[in-house]
Amino acid sequence: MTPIITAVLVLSALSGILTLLLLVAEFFFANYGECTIDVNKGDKTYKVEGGASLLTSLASQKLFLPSGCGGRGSCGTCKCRVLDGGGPLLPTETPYLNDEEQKSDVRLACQVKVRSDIKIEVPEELLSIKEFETVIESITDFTHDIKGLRFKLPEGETIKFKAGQFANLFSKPYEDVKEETSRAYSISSSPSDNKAIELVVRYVPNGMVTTYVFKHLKQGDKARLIGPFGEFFLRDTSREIVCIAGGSGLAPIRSIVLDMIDRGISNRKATFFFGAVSQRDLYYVEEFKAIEKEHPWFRFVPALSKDDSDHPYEKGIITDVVARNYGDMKDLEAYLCGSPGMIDACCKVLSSKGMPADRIYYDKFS
Amino acid sequence: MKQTPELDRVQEKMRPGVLTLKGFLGNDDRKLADIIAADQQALLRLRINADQIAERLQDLADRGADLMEQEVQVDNRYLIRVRDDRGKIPSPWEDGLFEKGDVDLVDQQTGKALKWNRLTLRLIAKHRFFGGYGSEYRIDPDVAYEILALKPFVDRSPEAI
Amino acid sequence: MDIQNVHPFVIFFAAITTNNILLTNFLGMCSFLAVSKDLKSSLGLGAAVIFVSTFTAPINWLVYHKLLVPYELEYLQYIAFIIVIAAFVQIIEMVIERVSTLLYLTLGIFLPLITVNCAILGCALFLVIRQYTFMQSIAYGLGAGTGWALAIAALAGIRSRMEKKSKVIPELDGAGIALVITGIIAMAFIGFSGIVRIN
Repeated sequence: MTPIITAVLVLSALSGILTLLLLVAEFFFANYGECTIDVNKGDKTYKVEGGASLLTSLASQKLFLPSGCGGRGSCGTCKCRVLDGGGPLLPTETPYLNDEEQKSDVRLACQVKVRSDIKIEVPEELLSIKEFETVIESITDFTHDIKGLRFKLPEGETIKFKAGQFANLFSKPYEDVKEETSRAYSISSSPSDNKAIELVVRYVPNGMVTTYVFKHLKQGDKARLIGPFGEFFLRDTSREIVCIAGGSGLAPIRSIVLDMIDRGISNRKATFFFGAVSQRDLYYVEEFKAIEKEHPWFRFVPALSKDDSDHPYEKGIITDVVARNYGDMKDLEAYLCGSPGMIDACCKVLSSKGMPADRIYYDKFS
Repeated sequence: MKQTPELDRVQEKMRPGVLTLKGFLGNDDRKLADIIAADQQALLRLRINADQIAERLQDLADRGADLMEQEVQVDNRYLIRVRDDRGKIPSPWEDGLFEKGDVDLVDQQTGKALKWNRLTLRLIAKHRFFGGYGSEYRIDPDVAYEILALKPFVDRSPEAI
Repeated sequence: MDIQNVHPFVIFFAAITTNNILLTNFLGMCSFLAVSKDLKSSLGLGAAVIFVSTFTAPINWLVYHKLLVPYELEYLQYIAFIIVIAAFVQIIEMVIERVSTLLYLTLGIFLPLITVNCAILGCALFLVIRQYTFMQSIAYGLGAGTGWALAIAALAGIRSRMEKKSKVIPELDGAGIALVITGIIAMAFIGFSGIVRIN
């Protein structure tokens, strides 16, 4: 018996001493102390525990750089300029950076470690991306498979976004879904309504988040949102606008129109074509009709593809309706939102009417 | 075919609630390798192959597509409705992201139905996975053979001659 | 001559030349073949091996003679040596990461793999078998590490030159040609035999 006990004791003592040694070493070598991250020349400063990557350090401070691979250095999307304190460019970064980027100190945030005070520069929009713990203020049934949700932000918090952008909504674990899951939905409310946001959600069969929204989420529930994201928003020009949407694609267009009203933009004509199958697929009609009456620059054109009943709307497929409403479209710009198939079909029609491709804006959520 | 650790990982991702709400396996509790092998046997017996099925389904989906997602009759035989949803879904084999949108097909002659999307088609074409028993996305080779009017596949590769 | 009377300096040189742990015992081959493509990273790995072997050899000597022998636990030597080596590799990993991120990334997986580098364990076992004294074990650890580093640097130098000038048949490219070169270097090292003798 004794030899076994001595053996165990001796080995434990040895491991114990070495563990102690490791802890001491960690204290001296792996302890970088508190570091300051300076964003956009003093716009924001964060104090973080040194030693982690820039990407995760920023995420812990709720500044979310885009990242497709989760920090493994395989997607190259978490680029940002590191002006000072980033250390040398690493071989894991060079494949993702062209010469010009390397010269202007662009780095991959997931590869740069925060070891000392560091100065970085990120696109202005990213600073407004925030995470919100919201409460569902209301849920409205728009059609048989589309709902509108209004989320109230926590007391004192506001969201800054451009009309047309989207936010990611998280579902809580339910049934077989064991983890929080997030999906992108366009914001339908106006940027001036900044203490809450509204999203429009279309039910996707077997969709993990839409099923949660349709079957489980109730008024008064808590919900987590991150946003805003996206390059789909109204450009500052004076061109006439044509908006085309179908289904839940109405959301960002509503936001854009409400934003134009709030900002008093009345020198640009805007026409909103909304494609649907029959009258039961229409929603927000009253609101758009009211806007049309009050603001002469706006026109609302719902188009029904398969409804032979007596109705005041245009008949036919949305692309045909757009085509017969315009002659030459080379001086217009277009904002599209809908299914990928609809966007492709609309792009074709718009190009055939002379609209340059770089003036057709859409968001495929890809 | 042997159940490799890689297939274990893939099968884990196919469970309900991981990538999709209901998963890819239905109520099938066989190992993924056995599911694939059993369907491969069925294809050999029917003298058709997975690419034929995938190509035929893709062709039907292309011809059944409608901008307003309405039902379309194809070949005077099938009623097809193609949904077009926003967003992408990853493959359990981690080899790509596929646009969402289910295709529902009903064969008016037999009344039998099939359901698939871009991802499940890819799983058939690339990985020979047709779905577990009881999964609504299962393309059973026997059913496919019966209603898709497939001709026996003639192998013209040099090895077969 | 009794081994205890050999000067540690002699042991040090013998460990580099006549008893080179890599070229005569063929220990530590995996990282030797994998990291010897360019000189810079092989020198880094060589330095890491020198560091680990120099420190672990005397510590393992102490562990063996002052801990295991008195309690008659010699049969635990493998596990005890491995624990010591593993802890030291952890420490050196922290140091390298702090001092040079570039080197840390170049070494990549091979840094933690030093733990299972057979040259390091072999070094600890040899000093037990050959009954070195404490001072001799320090010299042996330093010498074995230096010898290993010298060998990998030599191979890396040859390989990086060959990459530019030589045409290797594809079947032999990579590990194959590296093994052939290693054999030739090992033969060259036979030329040292007779200069010093320690076993």
